[in-house]
Amino acid sequence: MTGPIRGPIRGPHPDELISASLTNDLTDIERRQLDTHLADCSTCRATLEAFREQRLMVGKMRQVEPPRDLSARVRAGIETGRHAQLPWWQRTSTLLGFGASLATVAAAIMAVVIIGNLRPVPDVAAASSTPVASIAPPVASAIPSADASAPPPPSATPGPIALGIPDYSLALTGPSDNLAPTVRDGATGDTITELDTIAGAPVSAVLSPNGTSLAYAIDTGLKGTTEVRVSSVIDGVTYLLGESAIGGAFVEHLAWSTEGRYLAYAIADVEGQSGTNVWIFDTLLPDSPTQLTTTGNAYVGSWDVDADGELLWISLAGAEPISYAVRPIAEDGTVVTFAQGADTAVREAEGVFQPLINRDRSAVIFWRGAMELATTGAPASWLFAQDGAPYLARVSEEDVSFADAQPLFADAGEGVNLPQASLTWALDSRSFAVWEIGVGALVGSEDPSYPSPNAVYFGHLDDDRRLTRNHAIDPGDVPEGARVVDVALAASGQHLALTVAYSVGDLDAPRADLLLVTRNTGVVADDVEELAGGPAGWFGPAVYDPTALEPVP
Amino acid sequence: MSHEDRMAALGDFDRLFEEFSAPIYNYVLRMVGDRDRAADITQDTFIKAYRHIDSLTDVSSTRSWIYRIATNTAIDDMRRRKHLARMDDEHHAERPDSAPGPEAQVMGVVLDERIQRAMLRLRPNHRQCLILSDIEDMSAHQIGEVMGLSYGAVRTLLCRARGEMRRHLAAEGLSR
Repeated sequence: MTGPIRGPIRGPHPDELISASLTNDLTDIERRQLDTHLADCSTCRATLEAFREQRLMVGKMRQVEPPRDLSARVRAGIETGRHAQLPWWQRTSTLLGFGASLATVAAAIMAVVIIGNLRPVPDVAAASSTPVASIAPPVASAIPSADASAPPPPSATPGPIALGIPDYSLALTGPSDNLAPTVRDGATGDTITELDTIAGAPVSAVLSPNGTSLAYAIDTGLKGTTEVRVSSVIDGVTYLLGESAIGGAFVEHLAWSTEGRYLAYAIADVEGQSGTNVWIFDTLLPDSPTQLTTTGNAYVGSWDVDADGELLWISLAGAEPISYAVRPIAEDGTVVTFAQGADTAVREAEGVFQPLINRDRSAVIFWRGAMELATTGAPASWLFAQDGAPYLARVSEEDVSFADAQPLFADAGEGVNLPQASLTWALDSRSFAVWEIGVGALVGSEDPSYPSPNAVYFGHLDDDRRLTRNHAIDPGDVPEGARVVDVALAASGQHLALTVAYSVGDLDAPRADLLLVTRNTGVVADDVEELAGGPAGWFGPAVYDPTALEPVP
Repeated sequence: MSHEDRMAALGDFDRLFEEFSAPIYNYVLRMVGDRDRAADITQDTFIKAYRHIDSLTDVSSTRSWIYRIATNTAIDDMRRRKHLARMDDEHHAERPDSAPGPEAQVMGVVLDERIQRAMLRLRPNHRQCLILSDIEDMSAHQIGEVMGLSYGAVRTLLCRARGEMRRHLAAEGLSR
């Protein structure tokens, strides 16, 4: 058996090697290591025997004949294109497939009634019976613009083909609407998973690329901290990864690795002693998040990939910020601690801060400028103090290059400094949004109201204008007195899901609505639909499901 | 799709269905523990496979391709039905071991029912990789293709799944 050479046996009992030996997934070196260990360890011999028995037992389970009408059902589904797109609650097995318990059936019917009262799936592709492969990527029509007279965009490179329901979304809600946060179907409001009770309002969320784990940040309110958590969307198991001092958009960025196993995130020390550092959470070893950096000024960028595997871009804040692409996971799955100056970086980029690479790795948005440790807050946090601005650059197949970048705000003019902002890419890799631009540092700007701290700017990679003041969504999209705390962009690039929070008293439960904004051009106002909301709850943020985009499987 | 292309696709699809419909149904059944849901998921799996059969360019990867579609479809189903599934689990938990329940009707023998019950207590990704390894007899590399994980990640996951399964089987009186 050949395969990657892994490290020596770690710990007292090499259970992983024992497990791998059952399927001959051991290298020759590992086999010899295991044999040597087994000769002296009765515990491991017992484990091997138990694993063997278990494998035999499971392997001998009886095979069951599929239903006789399966072939006919598949044929009918192919011919009509219907069943695969029926919402699950409309299928017979939902009501009949849970045994004969009257209580169970009654509960299922109740669920149907509740769902039936909620809004239908709002988007077009969900209702289409057209074979999915024939759906054209909606790139050309998705360019957000307030200028109807603008020239048509250059023909776009087709992105990933949207499958299933391109705008399928999940909304993280709670805690005040039902005492526990829930993950809900964004279109129907149906509860998918209830999570552990949390103390605060979720303010950002990212679903893992495999669609099984949700990472999110919770604003704890008066406590002045942000909790980072990961929950399994499948079984609701939740892990608290850390508590961070509120540090703004740069700290709150959460980054899943390309296959969804690792989450990289930053924690700003609540006491202010050790600054801000990057941590890694392994979903397969969830009990032990690992600290990646100790520099005290480290922030998370994006995961990337090269010929040798996955990389993580991390950034060190400073008067001259710098970013490093590191390989944080060793062959044996352990986290490799970053050490500046040591030989742990695969690449470095001077003057670059928090590079955010889009899903298809065709472009990157990052920051340039001089940063300062802002000490007005407690604890201190790094913000841009001079010439701070986001930039957009194309990415080649070989490398991420920051050399030919252009300012993201094309018409901001000279002398503008943006202290910070929240940024996100849509899953289509074409659309992006900027919001929560830091307040109070637009000194020297020709127009001190632009870029506006209160606006949401929505751009498209195929729009040569990048972002201008015309790319702000309509001010009326956000209700009076509300502020945007999170933006999620639909996979189709046609909608923005906004979490808008309202000011409430310190003793009142936090309140936020989840709005779906569809951009219109020219003088036509945007369409705004309330996906979820009301005076008694916190609804949002939304996440869009990356697995709906994968070109099967 | 032209008539000829459609006929060719149907021919390929017929062979695919003939070879894999029973294994996929059983794989999904072990995953979700309910034959109606397994039938629904299997049905959706093959409809998706038909629609995307053009994307299957490497015949040698047919098996991992169809299992991956089934896996994604099953995970999606589990995610959406989780709320109802929990009620169903509670119903099962209250049932005395000696009474024949839905699983007993499916499996037909008490031993299978106890193994299946232990399996259903696994976390979904643990259950999935254990089934692929011990029932479908896939290597770590093949499981990685199905689950979208690296070789190393599969080995780690399988080890944890075996440890967890050992405890659940012990609770059923089937393991030391």
